[in-house]
Formats: sequence, C-alpha cells, structure tokens
Amino acid sequence: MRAAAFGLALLAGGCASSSVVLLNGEGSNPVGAVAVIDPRTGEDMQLIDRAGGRLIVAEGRQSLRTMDATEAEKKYGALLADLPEPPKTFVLYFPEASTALALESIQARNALLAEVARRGAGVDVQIEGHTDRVGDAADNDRLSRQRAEAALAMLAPLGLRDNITRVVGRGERAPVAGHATADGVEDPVNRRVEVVVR
Amino acid sequence: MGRTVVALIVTALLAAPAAAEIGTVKKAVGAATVLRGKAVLPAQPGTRLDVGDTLVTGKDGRIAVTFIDNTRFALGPNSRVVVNRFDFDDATHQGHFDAKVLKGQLAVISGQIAHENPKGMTLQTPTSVLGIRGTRFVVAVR
Repeated sequence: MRAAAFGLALLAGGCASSSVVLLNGEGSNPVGAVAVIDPRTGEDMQLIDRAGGRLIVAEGRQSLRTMDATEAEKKYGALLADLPEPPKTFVLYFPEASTALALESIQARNALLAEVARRGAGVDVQIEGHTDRVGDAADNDRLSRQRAEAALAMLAPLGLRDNITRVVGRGERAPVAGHATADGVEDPVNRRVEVVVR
Repeated sequence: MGRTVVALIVTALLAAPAAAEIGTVKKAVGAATVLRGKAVLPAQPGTRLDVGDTLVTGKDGRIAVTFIDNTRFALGPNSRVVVNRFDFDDATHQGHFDAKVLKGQLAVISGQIAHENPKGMTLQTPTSVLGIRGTRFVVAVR
C-alpha cells in the first residue's frame, strides 16, 4: 500500500521528501527537540524530543518513526564528524583601572594563544571587554574597550587580523552572573575580557 | 550617555566591511562553494558568510560552518543550503535564524539563538518548516 502510494507520487513527479533525525546532545548535553510547524498558523504539528526520533515529511503528509540512536549516529557518522568543534571561551582578568593583564591570567593568556594557533586558518575570535562599577559609566566604557584592545594586541603576533570578528567594550553594564554590584563597588571578577574562539 | 557611546561603537563595528558576517567556514573539502548574489566564491577555511549566502557542495564536497551565535553546520556531498535570515544580539542572545535545506544532508548543533528563544530558529525543506528547539540533529532532503 505504502509502496503503491510512493509509486504514484513518483509518477506525479513530486517525490520530494525530507527527514529530520534528532540525536543525543553533544557530549553530555541533553537531547533537544524539533517540531514540524504548520506554516499557516505557526503552530507545532509534530514534535520529536527523543534521540532517534525521526520525522519524514513528503508532499502533504508526515510520518513519525524512530531509529535506534546508535544506528543513527552510525548512519550519519561521516557527516557528524565534520561538525566544527565547540567554541571555547577564555576569561582574562585585569587590576583595578588597569589595562595590563593580571598576573594570575598569564596562564589563561597562554592557553588562549595556543588555542587560536591550533584552530588555524578558519578560526574567528570575538573579544569583549568589561569593568567593575568603580568610576563613572563613560570612563568604564573607555576602559573596557581598552582592555579588549589589550587582548587584541596579545593576539597580534599570531598575525590574525582578518580573523577577529568583533572587538567591543561593554563597560560596567554586563557583570558576571551573581556579581551585579551596587555602583562604585570594586569587584575583580567583573574586571575582565572574555574571548570566544570559534 | 555611556550606553549611547557604546551603541555607536558597536554600530560602527557592524558597519565595517567585515562585520555584516554571520559565520565562518571552518572546513571545506572537494567541490565547495558559496553563492552570493551572482558571485560564486570558493568555500575555504576562513571564508566569511553573509545573510543570503547559499552553501553548495558537489558530489565530493563538504562544508562545515560555525555561526556567531555558536550554531554549527556540516553539509554533506551534493547539498545546497541557503541562509535566509540571521540576526543576533550578542548581548541578549536574542535573534532569528532561518535557513533552507534545498537538497542533500545537513547536520546541525544549535546555538544561542535557539537556546534563548524556542521560536528563534527555523529550518525549511522543500516539504516542511522545522522549529528548532535544539540541539543536535540531521536534516536530509531528496
């Protein structure tokens, strides 16, 4: 019956078919979910939320299947192996009012340089400077930008000018979670530059 | 006031030629190109992507991409994927991402856009619209 229907679809020339297979999250990350959405209403029509869950949508009809999760990994092994490695974030700390790297961050800087060099030609780097809430907001915007530029200068010897996606200073407005202090309060955790290596 | 200054700096950065980009090619093997308007660019590690770009692989081709919200793509051979929409606020992680798999195979690990907003990311195929809630999956079109 199904074969007959498929044959008819082939004869009709409209044999386009799409499938989506949900897999386990990367590493220890949880399984997510994928929905088929009704384009007219924006509502979910079907949802898969288990590893190995598989939706096949041919013209006008959809079917829900399951696949063994291990089998799915195997079936798409070569494709999955091509996925880029996860981005990695490095945090560099700075003394109060300073753009000179804190001694405790020398190791982190070295690790950052090694990571950027290891990723090679396709690497892109995002640099975001921050301050604590000592001093006024405008000064802190400047200081955070200068810290970001100091981090950029550390990367200069690697010759990566074209691989730096963004260099921004966000001043005192983006404290680390749990470190949103009152104005004027010193907090070494917030005096930082976050560098994302992709 | 300070906020305005930073907003201006950010705007200036976004306006710089390199900064409209939304992702970077990490790996490219065999016949692998990026279609941008009428231009056909070779895909190679470091190639920057813009909204509207179409990634195309031939029968021996593969392309891997990381987007600036940390979404990752791997295209298999004989595949064609167009990025229709990508906007991302890297302060709030709010944004929208829509791509269409026209043919072939695409492996995905979703990033901050899907993480922050369950309606933020969609993938289309010739026969469906998929809402991406995360995180790791494969779309195949034939």
